Amino acid sequence: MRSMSKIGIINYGLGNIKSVENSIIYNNQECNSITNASEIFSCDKIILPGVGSFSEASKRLIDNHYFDSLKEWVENYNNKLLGICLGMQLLCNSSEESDGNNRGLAFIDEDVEKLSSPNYNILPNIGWSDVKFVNSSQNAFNGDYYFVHSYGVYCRNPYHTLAKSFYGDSEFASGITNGKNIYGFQFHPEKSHLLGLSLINWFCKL
Amino acid sequence: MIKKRLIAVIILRDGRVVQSEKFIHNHVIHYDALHAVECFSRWDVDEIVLLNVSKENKSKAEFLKIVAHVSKTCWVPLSVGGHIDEVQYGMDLISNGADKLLLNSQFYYEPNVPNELYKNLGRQCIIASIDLKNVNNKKLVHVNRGNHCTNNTIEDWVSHCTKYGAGEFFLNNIDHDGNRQGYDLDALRKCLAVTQAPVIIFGGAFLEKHFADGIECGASAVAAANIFHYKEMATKKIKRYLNKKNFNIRIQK
Repeated sequence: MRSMSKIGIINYGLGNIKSVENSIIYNNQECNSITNASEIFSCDKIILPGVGSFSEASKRLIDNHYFDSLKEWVENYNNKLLGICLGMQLLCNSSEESDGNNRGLAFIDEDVEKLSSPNYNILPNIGWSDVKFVNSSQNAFNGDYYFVHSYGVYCRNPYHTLAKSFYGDSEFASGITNGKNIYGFQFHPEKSHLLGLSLINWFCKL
Repeated sequence: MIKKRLIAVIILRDGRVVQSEKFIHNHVIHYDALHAVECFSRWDVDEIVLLNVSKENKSKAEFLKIVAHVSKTCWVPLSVGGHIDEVQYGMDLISNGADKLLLNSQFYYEPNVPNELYKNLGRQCIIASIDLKNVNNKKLVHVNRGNHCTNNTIEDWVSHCTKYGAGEFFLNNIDHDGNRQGYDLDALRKCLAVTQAPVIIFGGAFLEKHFADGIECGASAVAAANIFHYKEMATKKIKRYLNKKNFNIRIQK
């Protein structure tokens, strides 16, 4: 039998660490708040949360050596990485939201753009929205999740799309993946009631 | 497409849930904040706003503890406000489980506080709470729990708050607060005309129709406090009503 996985949440001062932690505890799993990049190597699951600006988050992760460590860590496909909200955006190459450093982790070859739609312009995009998973085996997770963002990913490569949602009339990727061991959600599963908690549970059990 | 939100506001004075009427908070409702949050989280509410209306600045520490406590079982977004007069306190609220911050007087007295918080957390984390009150037939923005008139109109104030980092607005009219006559739709329209940010309307909702009026008028979210404490399952009933009216809202599975 596989031993219980060790889950770490990267705490770089820019995330709703507590909410993510609470949702994992709800699912009867233990988790560790990671404050030093070297600690990720004792975990086989990492959650990268994040709120705030892309450049500030990227700068903090680079300055604290997370970029290099995570690059090495994800090469082992037994390790699973989940980015939430800004954490998802950081998995991509770059973001249009730049006031300075614009470098993402580049684990998924996509870029982050400002949300736009022909007949709709309310920003930030705050509230609950329908999420549809692309793979029919994940249909049970289809439903409403809580979003709070102004930027998003419109996948050039459909292979990277894990789930889809709409901003106005424009469809964006509310979930992305590298198809192997890296996942990202634009919404906040930890704040999306029972459905969101079940999605957190899915990741814990991966 | 993003759905319209129903928000439950929990008003706390000295750690206890109170009723609000024209910003007077004398009536203590007999249960603690945790109980209220757990009920609302179960009853289909899309977001919870927790407000510390204590007069004393020293209530901050206890409020922080309450936020940490209730967020452990709050599975919907939690926005918190009251006495966020230092950047560090705002950051502490977030690291203790709050998802967004409401600031009101600080946009007037020390706008660098919301501005710094915006730089750290992003615009989507900062809600500008705006209180209006009629003065000689003119609606003007008031701060300091409604005690100080800034002489600003809603339009001026929305652009001021946007400049200092607001990404969402929480609009209340003190004359409507607790009066059960419905929202100040006129102020809502004026606010919507000058911002692209989502606007939450609060103050005065009592009938199901009042909530529909707010959404129809263009609010991104409709909020209430008192009614949810006194009518059992009121939130679910309102959701069902809005659903029947074909509004785009979330119905819990």
